[in-house]
Amino acid sequence: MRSSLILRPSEQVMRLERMGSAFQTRISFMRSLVRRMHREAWTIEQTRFELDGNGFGVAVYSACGPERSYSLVAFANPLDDDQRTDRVIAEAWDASFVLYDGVPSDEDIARLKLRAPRQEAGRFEGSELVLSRANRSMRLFDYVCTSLAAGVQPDITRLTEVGYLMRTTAVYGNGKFGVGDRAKIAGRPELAGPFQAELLTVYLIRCFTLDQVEHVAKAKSSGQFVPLERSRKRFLGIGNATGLGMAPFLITHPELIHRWAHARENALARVRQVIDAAPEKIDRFQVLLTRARKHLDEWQVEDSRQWASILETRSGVARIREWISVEDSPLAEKRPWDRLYQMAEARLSVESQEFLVSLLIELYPELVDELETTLSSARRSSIDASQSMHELRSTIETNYRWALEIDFERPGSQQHFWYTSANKLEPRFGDRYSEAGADREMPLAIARDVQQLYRQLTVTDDAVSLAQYLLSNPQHRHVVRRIQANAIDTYGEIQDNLIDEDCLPLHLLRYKLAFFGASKFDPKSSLWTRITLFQGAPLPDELHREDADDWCFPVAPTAH
Amino acid sequence: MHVSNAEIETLTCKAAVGVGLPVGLAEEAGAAAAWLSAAGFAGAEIAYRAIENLRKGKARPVIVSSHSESLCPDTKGKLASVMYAAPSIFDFLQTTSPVTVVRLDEPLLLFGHLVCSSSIPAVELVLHSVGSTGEVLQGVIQRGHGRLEGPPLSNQEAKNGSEVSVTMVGISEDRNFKPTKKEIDVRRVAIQRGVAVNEAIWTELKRLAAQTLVPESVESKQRGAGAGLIDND
Repeated sequence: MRSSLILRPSEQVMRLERMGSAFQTRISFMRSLVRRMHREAWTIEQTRFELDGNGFGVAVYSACGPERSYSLVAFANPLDDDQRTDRVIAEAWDASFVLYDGVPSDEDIARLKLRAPRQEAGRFEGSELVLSRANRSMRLFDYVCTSLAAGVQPDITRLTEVGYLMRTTAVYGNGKFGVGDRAKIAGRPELAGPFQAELLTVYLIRCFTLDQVEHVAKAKSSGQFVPLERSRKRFLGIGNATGLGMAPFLITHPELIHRWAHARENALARVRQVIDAAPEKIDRFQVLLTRARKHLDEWQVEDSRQWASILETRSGVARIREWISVEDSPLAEKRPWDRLYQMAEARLSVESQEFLVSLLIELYPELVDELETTLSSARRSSIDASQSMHELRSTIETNYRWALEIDFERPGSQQHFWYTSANKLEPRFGDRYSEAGADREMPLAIARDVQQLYRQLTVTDDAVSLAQYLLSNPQHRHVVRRIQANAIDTYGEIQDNLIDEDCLPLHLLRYKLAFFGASKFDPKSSLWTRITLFQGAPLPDELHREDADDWCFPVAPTAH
Repeated sequence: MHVSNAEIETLTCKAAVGVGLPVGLAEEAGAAAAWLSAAGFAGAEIAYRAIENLRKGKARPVIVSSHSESLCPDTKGKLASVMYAAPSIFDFLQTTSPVTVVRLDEPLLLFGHLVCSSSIPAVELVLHSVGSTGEVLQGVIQRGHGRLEGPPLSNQEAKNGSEVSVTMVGISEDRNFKPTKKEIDVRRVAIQRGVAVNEAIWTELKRLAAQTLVPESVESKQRGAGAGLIDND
């Protein structure tokens, strides 16, 4: 009975440490996109490819679904090495991209050729849905190119070290810089899910990079050129450098974040509720464990904190294998996956637990895949001004106890502030006590704001109506709206102090990226990370394959 | 120039915060401006005027009048700022009807606000506005749809503002209205293609929004994510 599902509580799930340990699941947005393309027999076609021998020029890829087509228009340009930076404040890139709604005309392409390379400085139209750009991986692009030109396949170890030929540094949708509004596509089944247009763009960029590297290699070759071997191709995804731009989104969209977290927790609860593990499910779990272990072995990072977590997770996977290999395996008991999860929760690291969550959800597509339709939210909450002051206070005491317990008198508890820089609107995480700009702080210090509201409510007469209170205290309006919404959307709030000296914004980035379906998190500081998208995903001519959805925890191909 | 509805919402919100409006009010003003634009009104321009009224001290926050049940500006001789009044009018309507406000600076933005706020509760709102020179604006709002009755007005601003009364009534089947084909078409085109805005107004909104930004410094640049990195790897 699904009505009796027991979900992990928000105070466990919505903590920064656990959020920063998240992995992709089969309801991650990239997985949903690929499943749809498989299910609906999408075709992807290169309709224009006018690149010179260095790979510079224009290319168009059209993705055709059952009702509509979308086209990636790609522009590749020369870029000096000293211009190549992943930061938002960059002004030039190796390639720029637009996802066009339909099939662009020559005039459209001519217009976009002038605008897309300018990115934020260009203006776009409703016919464009997504704007993006990417830089070549200098570690890999030239190496792969040289190898193919010489007639040899690139070494798999080198491919594993990087995982992509290009790295996107921004993917803009939802009306930014004039591109089409989310409302334009929200009613289309293929783009109704979160970030589907953006991720379709990234998938098509992957197609472009694979074709581009072969094209350049062929042009440079003196007759020995070989195309990139298929399994190596599939192993190459698209890199992404993610900075603080993603973090505010998680805080300013509590209703949406609730939906995402609720769907995942619901998926886990459904699996944990399974009474008996069928033999084929146990076999599948073994296969996934083996693959996952290899994936973890190939996941190499320089960041010491993440490296320690990877080592713990490798150890955790080994222990899980031990637990299910013995005679009294939890998988032989009733509610086997619940039993296994409970063992992990009691004995393994948080990242190991979340890794297991991903594996468990992977086992039961028949129970969880439908949840991908619950990930969007169009609801805009308005304030219920009929609520009494007493009720509002009680709601805070019940749902925000974690916020009330934070000591904001301690200087370190307000060490940081979030702000937007005048330099290309780059979001930053400043030090309140040594940097200017705290007077322009973004309203992301939810715990502090809730506490300030609560303190004032405790000295406010209960006879005052909420409407009257907000009329006199409009500075609390956004917090009151949030508190009321979170009474329903229980996973909408990150239950930590987001301005504390110990706050790691990286946790926020990883949480969101895991929902996207990213893998190989490679933190470069507490403020940004590199990741890989679509690594192991089927190539366009493999979308029809029966195993098109089986690409979680990608591993390097065997050399041959 | 053409902009997206999301840009109108975001820029209006930021510009309002830039002149000191609390963020909770600014977010609602942004949504109202975007709705007005998508419905064929000059949402960005109306919002800009309201923001400027606040910035210049022409309009003020509202209080409950000591003489009557209506909302009025907190300073004698000033206009009532719609940016403050609109959210409160919807708040008060949940327990009291009708709610009136005197000397309101931009009634159309209130109309947009009420439409956005009405998308959830099953109620009908009737807005009646009389400007200081006698012009009348009347609108009906149900479940996220709004319709002005009478001649279309792009602006009802007048020297002394407008007296606006909003009444809440329950929706009955016979009063249920659906958007007309024309209304649907206007909105569809706005969503498909974006909306036209006055470029000078847009530039001014951006200038006001820039007041929420922290000026660049060498130190802050070096503390940004990915600082100091040239990615030739």
